[in-house]
Amino acid sequence: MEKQASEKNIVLEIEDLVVNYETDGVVVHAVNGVSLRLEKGKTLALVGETGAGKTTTALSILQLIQDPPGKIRGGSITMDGDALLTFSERQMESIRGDKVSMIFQDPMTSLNPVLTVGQQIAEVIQIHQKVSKAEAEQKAREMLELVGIDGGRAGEYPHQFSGGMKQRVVIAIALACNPTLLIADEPTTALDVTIQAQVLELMKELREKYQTSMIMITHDLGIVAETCDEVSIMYAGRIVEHGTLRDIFKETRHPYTVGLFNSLPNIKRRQEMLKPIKGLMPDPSNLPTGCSFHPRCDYAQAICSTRKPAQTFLSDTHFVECLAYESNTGVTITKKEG
Amino acid sequence: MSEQASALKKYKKRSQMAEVWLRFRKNKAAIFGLIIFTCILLVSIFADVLVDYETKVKQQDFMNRMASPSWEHPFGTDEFGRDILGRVVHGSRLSLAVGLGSVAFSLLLGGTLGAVAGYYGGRLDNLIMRIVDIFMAIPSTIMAITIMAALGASTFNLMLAIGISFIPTYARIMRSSVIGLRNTEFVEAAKAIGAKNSTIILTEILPNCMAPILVQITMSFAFGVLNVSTLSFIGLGISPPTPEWGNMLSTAREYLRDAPHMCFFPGMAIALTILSLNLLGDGLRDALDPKLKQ
Repeated sequence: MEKQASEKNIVLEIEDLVVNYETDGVVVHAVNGVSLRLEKGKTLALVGETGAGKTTTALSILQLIQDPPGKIRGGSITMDGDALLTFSERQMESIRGDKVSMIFQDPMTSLNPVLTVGQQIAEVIQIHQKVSKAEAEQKAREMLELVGIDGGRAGEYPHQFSGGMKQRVVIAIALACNPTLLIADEPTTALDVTIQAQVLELMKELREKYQTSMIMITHDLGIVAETCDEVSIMYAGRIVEHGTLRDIFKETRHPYTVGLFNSLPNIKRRQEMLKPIKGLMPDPSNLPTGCSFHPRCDYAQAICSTRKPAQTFLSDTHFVECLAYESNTGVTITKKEG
Repeated sequence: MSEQASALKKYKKRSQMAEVWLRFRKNKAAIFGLIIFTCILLVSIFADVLVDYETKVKQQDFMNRMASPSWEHPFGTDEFGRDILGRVVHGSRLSLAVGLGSVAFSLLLGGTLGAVAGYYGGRLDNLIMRIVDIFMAIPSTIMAITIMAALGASTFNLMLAIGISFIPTYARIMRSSVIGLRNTEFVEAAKAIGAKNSTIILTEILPNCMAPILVQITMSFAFGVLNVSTLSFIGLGISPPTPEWGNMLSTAREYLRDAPHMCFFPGMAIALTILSLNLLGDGLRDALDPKLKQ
């Protein structure tokens, strides 16, 4: 992560973040030393299986991890020069929704069923800006127009909207205070494909307009290709491969990333059987020693179970955590087919 | 085209309250309860206009003691020759006021305790709910009698005494609703926009708990009215000569053989009030339950 280039305009920097979920004697290592940095206006994708620690990483930026059992055990999160982990609850409240906004996975449940959408958009504006109720409601109507919904519908309740429109409302809430950073936690998983495209397009448009940086959490590599600038592949609480969109899609290096791509149906070779990654995510309360991917890795050698891989930089922007790319380990990856 | 537009408009106009009202309207018994209760409420609000307190309620007429119902006295007269109709009408005021006061008191206190316990959980929850459990273990009438005996008879104390016995119910209902809502995604979303805990409880969670609370309000209101009369009947509530249904019954009891109408009318008033409130509450519960939505 120690690249010197593009030092300018870093919006968010996470160093060595460690998050555990601790319950009676069992410690679940959800995030084990994640580092990432995000430039202004750029979009970073966090990709990985369920339970890889993507959402936990994102929630720790807002310090919204349920405590107990969630505990941030190490590392630092810096945003615009402020160390967020030292902030008090009150200071965090002033940041949430204002500088950092979050879009949740399911728009059906992230809107309050008994409040009108106008009230819900106005709420965030009233919390963070010193405006009267009428002004906030006016602004709420403008936000609705911005996401392509008739402002006259501000007085309606969430159940009167379709799923795609609800997600637009959620986006309107997230962008109402013009945040520096937008965290989207699988924003389109609950939507059908045609609506997905619309929502993604809308998010892209608005982000470019306001120069908002974004962390996009997803397991859909198609969405990543469409919307993101940089990609971090997460596995068992670590970033195992990171690079620009091109690095990851064209110069795929880590066996896990390769496995992810192989798990996708390929429209060009339709007879081909899908090759899912064998096995399951390791139990995060009992992670394997060495490289945590080695039990599922096709190329694993004895050394993989004893030695933890370090970050190996393949270029300025691209790094991978795999012993195959470190010198003198004896691990090699033989590509079987193109 | 225009038909479609009007259909759309009709759909849009259907807010949640309107839907609840539509379902409520289909319930004949509930509508009956609503009408009766509205009448009782109006009578008690306009009691002074309907029946003059000085001439009808306080005026004694010893020539006309315990008279049976007649045109002059539709409900008859009591042991001092006072008009029972006037006394029943004015008696409604205190019963309803104390009933309402006790509900408001317990809703405020019990609701707050329950919401705090449910939202914050953990040790605080345990502490609050165990105290509430202690209150729940004492029979409500005995509790009210004890409080009235200790504090002395006054309208305010009466509200307090009756209200305290409702606190556990409100606390429990509120707590269970809040626990169900605490971990919903919209509460998490509200946290993510920087809302304070108090804001979340008041603006996000509370409107979602209204259905069970509303039903409980009508039910405990009925119970409150009944309790006022019970306490007055045993002489711990509102004492004569102030007219109150319970104390009217209490004195009328002695003349039950000679003048049964003295018992009948205040008794009917109590029964009707409670019946109407219970019907109303049942109807509300059915109307507010989205599972019964057609």
